[in-house]
Amino acid sequence: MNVSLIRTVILGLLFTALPLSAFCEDEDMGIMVPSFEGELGENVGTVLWLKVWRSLRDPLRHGAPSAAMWFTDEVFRGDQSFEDVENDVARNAVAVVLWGNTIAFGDGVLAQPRLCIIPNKVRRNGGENPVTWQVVVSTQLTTLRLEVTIPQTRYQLPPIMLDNSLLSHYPNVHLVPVYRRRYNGPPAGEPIGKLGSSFRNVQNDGDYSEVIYDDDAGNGHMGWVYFPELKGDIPIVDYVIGIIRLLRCDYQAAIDMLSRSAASADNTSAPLKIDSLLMEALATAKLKRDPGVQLELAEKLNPYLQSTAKFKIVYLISKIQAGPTKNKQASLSALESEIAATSYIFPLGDPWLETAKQMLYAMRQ
Amino acid sequence: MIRCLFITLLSIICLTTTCGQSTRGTICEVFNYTVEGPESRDNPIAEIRKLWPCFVDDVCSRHDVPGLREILTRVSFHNTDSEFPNDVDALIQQWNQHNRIMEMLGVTLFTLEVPHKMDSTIFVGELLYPDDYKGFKRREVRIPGLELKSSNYQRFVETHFLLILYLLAMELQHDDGKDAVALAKDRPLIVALLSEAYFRIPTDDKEADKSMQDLYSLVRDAAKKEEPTHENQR
Repeated sequence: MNVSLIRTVILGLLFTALPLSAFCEDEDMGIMVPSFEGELGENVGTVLWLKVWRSLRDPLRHGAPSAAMWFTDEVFRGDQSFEDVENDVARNAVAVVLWGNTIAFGDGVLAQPRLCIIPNKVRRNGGENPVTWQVVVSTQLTTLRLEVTIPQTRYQLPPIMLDNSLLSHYPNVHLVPVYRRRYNGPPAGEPIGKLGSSFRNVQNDGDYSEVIYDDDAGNGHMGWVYFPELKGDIPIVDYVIGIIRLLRCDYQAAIDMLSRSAASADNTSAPLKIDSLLMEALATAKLKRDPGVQLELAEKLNPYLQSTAKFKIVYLISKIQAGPTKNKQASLSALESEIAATSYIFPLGDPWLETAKQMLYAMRQ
Repeated sequence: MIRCLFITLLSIICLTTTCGQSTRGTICEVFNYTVEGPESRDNPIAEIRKLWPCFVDDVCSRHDVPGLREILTRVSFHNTDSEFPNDVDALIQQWNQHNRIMEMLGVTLFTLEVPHKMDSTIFVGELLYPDDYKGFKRREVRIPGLELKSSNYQRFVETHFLLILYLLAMELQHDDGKDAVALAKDRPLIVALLSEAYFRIPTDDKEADKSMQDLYSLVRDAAKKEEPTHENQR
């Protein structure tokens, strides 16, 4: 049988089977990772773009938002305000922007990334809000609702160090080298082509992804792309991917990424670590599992954070509602203690905390 | 005539000597860094100035506290040449130039090695104190993990945040109940600042300077202080 014919048929089938596109603009949720401003900024933007892109998965359930990576030649300035960036993407479907600048220093370069998340821009089919954990208590007079959501939407992320000579091969997405096979470590052979403007991900394997890409003549090929590690990029990339998966209702996959982000973030990125734990707790609750461990860890890292206290109160209320009746009294006492212990974190008469108190009162009746 | 002259003279003296006792409404801040080694091509102040608004957005995005942005944006950055003047006249001149409050935060940048390193000892203090001030004064604080690694100006920015926490502590110490200032009475603001500081400067580290522990205790106690009820307000 003709080998090239079989190859063409297989490639054709794969193109049909994989729905994710790299540059499609007609999607429910856009993710933008532009070039960074400064020395090697294009390369940093390209590597981060590719790392986020390779993590995109097919929507697992009906109604879950699809996602597309946005590419732009426009560079957001490193000192551009969050508001400016959010305004720039206001007219399109972009809900996540990862941008920043690089600074030359000594013999190296350091990248300072920033992230903004705009959850209300994600188009959803159906009523479920993936980044909201809500509890409802009905009384004879009214229905009380309490919810927690993504704790922060604007991030000044920990810096990334650039000490990788391979970066020079990544000036933009289209010029990324493709290799014949994957290697144990950085690529040792010569590239067989470039990613070009039409490519799809087949599978991920360590620091490599197998891709299908078109050459200049439009002929399909298969090969491997290498993703160089930037020192310090792991918690950042994992967190961004975790948030994207959460926004797409892909909860188990979000938990996998967010737990990795929480584990890899060091002390200099404690806010990211805590937010990873809180978002992991939210995704765990969405799957009707117990997120108590994540919340305890987050509280231990910072006992003065209002968002952690809110998550814990919502958790305790949901536990009372889901738990057996015989444990109800103990759970109510735990909720009462939590409210009393953390009330100093809230402004006097804070509406959220007042609702929590009313819920406690209603559940005691 | 002599009596009039005497009163005028007395008024001028009073006005001059009480300028340091005025309520702290503006925070003007001087960042003072010393370079040890060859001249660096970096401009830390310019970088900090660029990073600061993003830092404020980052912090304010996490806390829904109206007064927080206000207090964070009061900070301004002034570049000074390495050594701070020891001459009193020069200090007073700077004081006048920079409005009522002047803080300084000194670090040493070692440029002999690449990436450069920043000394983990920072110097925090108020240049001029009101006569009746009994709170925190100049301190040298060792903060573990505050080394500057390469161009990590985010850490520089965090030292400035620490400065704000110090200002808050100073206000708390100074607050004798009669001359209460809004900053020290804004409990959600205190908690938000404490929370942010807790993120960045670990307290459980045994190497942390005692003055840091004192600072945390002071702010923590103020944050947890019982709110006045309607009963005791009466």
